[in-house]
Formats: sequence, structure tokens, C-alpha cells
Amino acid sequence: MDKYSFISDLMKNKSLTHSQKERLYELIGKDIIRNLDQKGDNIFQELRVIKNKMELIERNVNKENNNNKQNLTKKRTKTHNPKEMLKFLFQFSSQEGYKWFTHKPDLRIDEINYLSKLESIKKYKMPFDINIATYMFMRSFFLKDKNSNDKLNIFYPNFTTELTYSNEKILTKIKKGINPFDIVIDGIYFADVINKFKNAIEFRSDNDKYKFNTLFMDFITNNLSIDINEKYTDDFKNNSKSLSTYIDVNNFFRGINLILKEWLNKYKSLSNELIIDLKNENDYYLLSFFQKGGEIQNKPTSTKLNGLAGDFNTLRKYWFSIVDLEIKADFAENKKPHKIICLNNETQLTVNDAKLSKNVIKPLQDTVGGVMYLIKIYKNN
Amino acid sequence: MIYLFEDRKDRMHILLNEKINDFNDVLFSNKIIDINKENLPNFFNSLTDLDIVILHKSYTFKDDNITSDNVRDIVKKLNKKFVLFSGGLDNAIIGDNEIVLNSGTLYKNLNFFIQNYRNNKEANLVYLVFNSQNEYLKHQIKKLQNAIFPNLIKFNQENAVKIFKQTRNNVDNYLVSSEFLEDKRKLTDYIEKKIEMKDFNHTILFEQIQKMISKYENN
Repeated sequence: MDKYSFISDLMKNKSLTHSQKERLYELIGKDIIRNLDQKGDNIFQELRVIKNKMELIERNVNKENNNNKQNLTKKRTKTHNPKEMLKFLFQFSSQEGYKWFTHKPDLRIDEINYLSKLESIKKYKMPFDINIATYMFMRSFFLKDKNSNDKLNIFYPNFTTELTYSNEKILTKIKKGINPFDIVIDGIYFADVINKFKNAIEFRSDNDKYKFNTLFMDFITNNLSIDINEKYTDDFKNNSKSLSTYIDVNNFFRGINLILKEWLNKYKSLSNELIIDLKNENDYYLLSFFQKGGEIQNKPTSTKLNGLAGDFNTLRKYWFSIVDLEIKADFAENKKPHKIICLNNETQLTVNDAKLSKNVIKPLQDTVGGVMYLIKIYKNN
Repeated sequence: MIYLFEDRKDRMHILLNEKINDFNDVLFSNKIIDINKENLPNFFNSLTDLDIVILHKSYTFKDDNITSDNVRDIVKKLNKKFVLFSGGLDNAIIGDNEIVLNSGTLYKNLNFFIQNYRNNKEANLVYLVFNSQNEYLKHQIKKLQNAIFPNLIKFNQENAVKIFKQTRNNVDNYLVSSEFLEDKRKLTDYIEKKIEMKDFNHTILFEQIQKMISKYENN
């Protein structure tokens, strides 16, 4: 075997690693070029083909690694997606497999096996972009494990109970064949708990006490400073009567509570005029608070408006994948109007460190005349 | 014509005592919404004799992107009446040209509603729940009383603003019929004025409300 055949065979040897082949190519390449004859030229061509192949393989491997890395990063970054939440909640109330937990069966027609339905709930996986609080709340009603809370906690109207579908007393009764809606434990009707739960995952229009207009206006009256004179527009009065949609009612009101107590009440000296409006658009309702004459501070040294700390950060986390939020305001320092996009379909949350992407601040042309909070509540469609 | 979209025919027959054929002249119950979402407006546009849509809240659409809200929006844009029913709904709530109610209530009162529709060529959704318009007005008054009187009893100067505001909101939220429009405006304007002037006399407020209520109670 001459040296060229030997080199050629060696390069084709599959047991040589990629880097060993490359090293070999480097060592012999110059020698071959120096002593180039016909045979040497052939083997040089062969080596180039092998090298090109190796480079192609390497490029593909790198590309695949990069894709994997990107996917991994992507998977660890949630994107604000209220519609995903809506879909998630919708099926728990409407899909045949899940709806019977909140939907009283007509025993003349419906035969429901609650135990098998509870088993199927265990297999349900959390949609990735959903707010973790929404998922935990839902899970707490059905299951008791590391991914659920011990009790069912409803923020507003405030209610806490241990009586859930995973409660031993409830399960014992279900196993005896008693319909969940007929279970009474220590004088508490489980049907009442169910009713509270279903009004915590949906603004419903079938109960005066829990209708959006009643709940919302009561919440404002009870939590807004009495020094602020709130006025509801005619659009609010008309549209709020029929607002119905699936939503994490808990986190919705946690966010409203923060806006009222930390911003509107604290800065009431700037203005005590508050206009509350509700527009009915094709895909969403647009709820707005307009504090006439209010303004927002944006000192050059402050990073507050980035929305990554303090109340801003808390509010954005409450409302991540619940509602969109945008604030329009004149800045106190230069009176220039701006909009602050706090939550929209480009907002991201990294799962590992629970960090949100920054607010996006854009200048506006026209003076706002105050501070306007614009909250987009998505409809079921 | 009334279009009933019910996918639980067994329930319909049981709750109606097999009477569905008695309504054939004004009610159509065999049509199925078996189109894609983009064709939904055309589907309802093509029902030229449509007056009322009655839809089961968890109706199984062929295209699972369609929701009952999509149907509601289309029907309301066509200026037609919309009825949404479900076994999971607690109470009937009547709005502008629409109503949500329990399936039991719907089927119990469908006969009465249809008789009225057939005779008067007018679809008064109130008849799906109440025997007369007056009964419905009294029902609203009663709900208002239940909401505001327990608050007024608790009145003191410290909670005065809250109670006046709650009363204003309750008047707005509970008196929804157009018959109340003028009286409601007068009453809420009066309360607004008192809030602005910080002049809180709950006895006068109570009298104002009673005066308005008695007008409808004695009808």
C-alpha cells in the first residue's frame, strides 16, 4: 500500500473522530501539496471532499445545537397570552369532560361518574403561557398535591374553604354515590362552594350578586378613597351589564386593588376626578380609569417605569396572561405625553428567575390631560 | 321565526313533554350549525325569517373555534333577539334584546312565550320568565329593595359616602327596564348631587326611593 492509499483508507476509517480527522488533514495537507503528483492530486481532491463533508456535518450539528438551545430558552420564557387562559378556563366550565364539576346535572337525563372525571383531571397538563396563580387556583379545586394550594382561596368576594373535590369528606360522599351538588358538610352546602368557584373563573351574567357590574362597582366603592369622586360613563353602564367572559377573577381584582390603593388613592391630591369607562369591541372589552389632571413621574435617575420592581412589577405579574395593560400619561417633569405598554403579546416572563421583560415607553403626540389606565379584557370568542 | 339550537334533544323532549311539534309553525328546531367560523355570519344572514335565536350555552359546534359569544354577537348585530340557556345557569337575567336563563325555566315557559309571539307577532323575552311585564318590573324593584335597604339601616356619617355611592350603583344596576329610565335618572342625579355637596341625609334618600317604588308597586 503506498502512502496515498494508506492516507485515503485512514480518512475513511469511521472509528476516527471528527477532530482526529481534522488534525490528520492539517498534518498531511501541506506535505501532499508540496509533493503533488497525479495520485497525490486525486487523494487531495478526496481529502477536500471529506473535509467539506465534515464541515457540512459540523455546521448541521451546530445548527441543531443552536436550535435546541433556542427551544430550551423559548420553553423557559412564557409569553403573555390572555387568550390561552381563556381557553383553559373555558373548557373547565363547558367541555363535557370537565363541565359537570360546576354544572348541576339533571338526574332525569345525566349520569355522571365523578370519580372517573376526577381521574381524568389528574392527567391534565398546564398550558405553558398561563399565569401560575390561575393554574394553582384551578388545581386546588380538584386535586391535593405539590402543585396545588391546601385550600381554595378566593380573593374577592373574599372566601376560603377546605371543601374541594379533593377533600376526604367530599370524596367519601361522592364514593357513596351522592351528587356533589347535594353534599352538605357541617351545614355547608358544597353547591355554594361550587358556585363561588365558578364565579371566580368567569364573569357570569346569571347571578346579580356576581355580575361584573355589581362586583366591580362594589369593589370600587369599598376600596377607592372616599375623597375621589368616581363617575361611570354611559358606555360603562350599558356594557358592564352584559359583560361575561372566562377570566381569573381573583387576579383581576388583585390588580384593580393595587391600582386603587397604591396609585389612585395615594395620588388623590393631584386629582380627585376619576372617570371609569368600558368599551365593547369585537374581541375584547376595554376598561379604563382616567384620573383627570393626574401625572406620572419619570425622573432620569429612576428605573420605576421599566416595570421591573415594586408595585409595577407586582401588578404586571398579577395580570400576566390575564389582561393587557397600557398606561397613557403626561410626565410630570416635562409635561410630555407618553404611553407605557405594560402587558401585550410581546411581554415575556422568564420562568427560572420570574423576570418580566421591560415596559415599552413610547411618546404620544396629543396631551393626555391626566393618567389613563387601559385594561383589555378578552372575550370568549 | 324562532330558531332553537339544542344539541341535547333528549332533554328537550323530556322537559317539553314531547310538545315540540305543536310549535312547528313558529319554531324551527332541526337546523344544525355545521359550518366553519368564517361562514357563521352568512349562516345567520341566510335565515331571512329569523326573529329569535335560542342557543344552548355549551352547544357542540362542528368548528370548535365557534363559541356561543360569536353567535350572540352576530345575532345582536342583525338586531334580532338572543336567548342563551343552560342547565348550569342559576337565574334568568334579562338584557337589551337578550336573555340568559336555566334550561328548566326555558322549557317550562316556552309554550307561554310562543303563544304570545304567535298572537302578537312580537317577541317579548320577559315572557320566558314572567307572566307579565308588570311582574318583571316588580321583580326589579324587589331586587333593588333587597340590595339597598340593608345598607341604609347601617347608615352613619362615617360610611355615608359609601352608602350613597352603593345606592346610586344599585339603582343603576337593578332597574334595567326602559320603563324606569326617567325615574332612575332623577334619582341618580339627586344622589350624585348629594355626594358632591357632601350632604348626606339617609332619611330623605329613603323617602325618595320609597316614593319612586310605590309608583310601580301599586300598578
